[in-house]
Amino acid sequence: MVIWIIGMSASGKTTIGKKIYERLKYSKEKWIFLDGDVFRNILGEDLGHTLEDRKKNAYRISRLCEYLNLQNINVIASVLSIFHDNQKYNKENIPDYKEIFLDVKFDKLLRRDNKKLYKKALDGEIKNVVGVDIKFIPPFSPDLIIDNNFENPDYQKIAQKIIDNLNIKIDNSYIYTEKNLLNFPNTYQYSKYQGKDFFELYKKNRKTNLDFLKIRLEKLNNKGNNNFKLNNNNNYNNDKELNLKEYLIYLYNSNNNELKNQKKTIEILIKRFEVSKKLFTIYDLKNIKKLSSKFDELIIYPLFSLVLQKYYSNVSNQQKLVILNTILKVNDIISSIASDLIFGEEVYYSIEAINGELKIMGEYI
Amino acid sequence: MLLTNNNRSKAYLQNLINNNFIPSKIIVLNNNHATLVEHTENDKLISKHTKQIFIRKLADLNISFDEKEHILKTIQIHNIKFVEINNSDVNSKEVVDEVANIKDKYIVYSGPSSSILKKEILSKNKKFIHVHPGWLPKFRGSTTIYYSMLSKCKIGCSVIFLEEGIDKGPVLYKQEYEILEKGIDFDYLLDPLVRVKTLIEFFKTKEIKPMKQNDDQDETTFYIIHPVLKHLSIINYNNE
Repeated sequence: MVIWIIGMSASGKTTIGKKIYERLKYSKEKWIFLDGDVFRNILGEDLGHTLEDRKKNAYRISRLCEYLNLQNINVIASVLSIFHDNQKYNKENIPDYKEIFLDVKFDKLLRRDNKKLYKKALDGEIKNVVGVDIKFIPPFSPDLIIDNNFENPDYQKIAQKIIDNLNIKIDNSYIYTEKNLLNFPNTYQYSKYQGKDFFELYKKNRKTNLDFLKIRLEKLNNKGNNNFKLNNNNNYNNDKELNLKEYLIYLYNSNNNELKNQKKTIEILIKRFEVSKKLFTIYDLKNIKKLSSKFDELIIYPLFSLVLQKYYSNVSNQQKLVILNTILKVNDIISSIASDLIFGEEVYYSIEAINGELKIMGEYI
Repeated sequence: MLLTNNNRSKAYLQNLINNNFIPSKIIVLNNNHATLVEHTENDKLISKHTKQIFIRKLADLNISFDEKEHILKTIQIHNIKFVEINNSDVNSKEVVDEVANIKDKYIVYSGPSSSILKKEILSKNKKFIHVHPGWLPKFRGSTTIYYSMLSKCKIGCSVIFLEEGIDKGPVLYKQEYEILEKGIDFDYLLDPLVRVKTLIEFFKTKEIKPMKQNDDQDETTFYIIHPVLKHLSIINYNNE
């Protein structure tokens, strides 16, 4: 599909195009966004803004869209398209061509004139501006006309309206657990905003993993493996070392006071995890620095999540955000390695960890 | 100044110049082969010679910048002394040497996102001025803009001297903002603009009075925000 968004300068075509792209880029289909102005720049700004040059540019964009479309790459193109013969060409040559026209009155455009293009053209400082000395003729038969005359338009909604109208199915997913996060850790830097529906994707991700683990647990139970109680081994530390699994079992079985006494160590462990996105089997007792490079003792992850969930109820509201943030990341790891969890206790405590997280998140969403 | 070509640096440089605070020299970290996480498509596609403009603005703060103006272009237009280093590591030897060469004591810092100045560069007898997008000492660490919005619906900004230890240097100026405009992008727009607003207000005070940060019982170090909490913050803010 090629979505060809037509609008004058300041009509919102780039913003809307980008918003549509933001919604569609996570689907399994390939989408790219093509901005008419950026396209000129990529080709080295060899064309000006005269009618003749504009026409050349329009056909370049059309041919590129046609070419990409042939390779099943969908395009969202934001263009100041003024040539009807070019729009006709698109309709005849691009199989799944959809034309959107952003209808904005000229006085609104003038008010929005961020680039000061219209002002300069009206003052006679520049020429070849569509709407001033080049006449804009709206497209003859767009698939959809969007009235974008409102103050502070909700671009997210407009993008959604276009997507719904063109009947595009979004196969959106929660992207943060797609890879094995122990091998390919998430940095979570500049994560993209995916709109309100994101919470549904997140919950679906957790529930799918929960169902998977429950089936696995049932099979294990049938084999007579159903006692997962973890008993304290008082030797979670010696003079120098802290054995993380034993320490977490101790914390898991502790009361709130004992948990509060361990505040400092818990907070350093959070810090260590946030930096490396891993939990190691042995840390040195003094500085809580890793002494082992083994990070695949999988039971540690659900235990850490459960300890943090317990700790969560003991801290200030501000601290709660920090703890919850880490719980979400640990549980992303658990979700990403669900199929590798094969031992009864790993499966059992992972189910507990995900259930607990969903319960806490229920307070927020 | 020590800058790399990202929205924050563009906002800093353009607005300082507009307010007649002209830097005496700029160290530019410009590795053409490296894409920084904070780069927008304009940084990736637009060459530094583009004639196009793209104004990003926040009416609430009455502040804006041109996203398509590469910092090297701004520097050239205003004929500012600069040195370009083809490396995006702030702690690299080239950068440390250039910092040591600078005559002035104060350096406004806007390096690549999430890089931390190490001991060596901090020991060159300079004071790095940094704007942290969080109210200190309460909001230390990363992506505090989202956490602050989540917990108090406001954004704080603190101008500090960089020291070893994350966001622990003395505070020079603090400001808090209530932003009313809906649907704005936090990472690429709100963050650079609240920081530059605070920086300009700090410069306008024309005084440097470092205040040691008190150890606050309530202080928290935040880590990079998980997408679920990020969405919660944005959706709450927009009242969606």
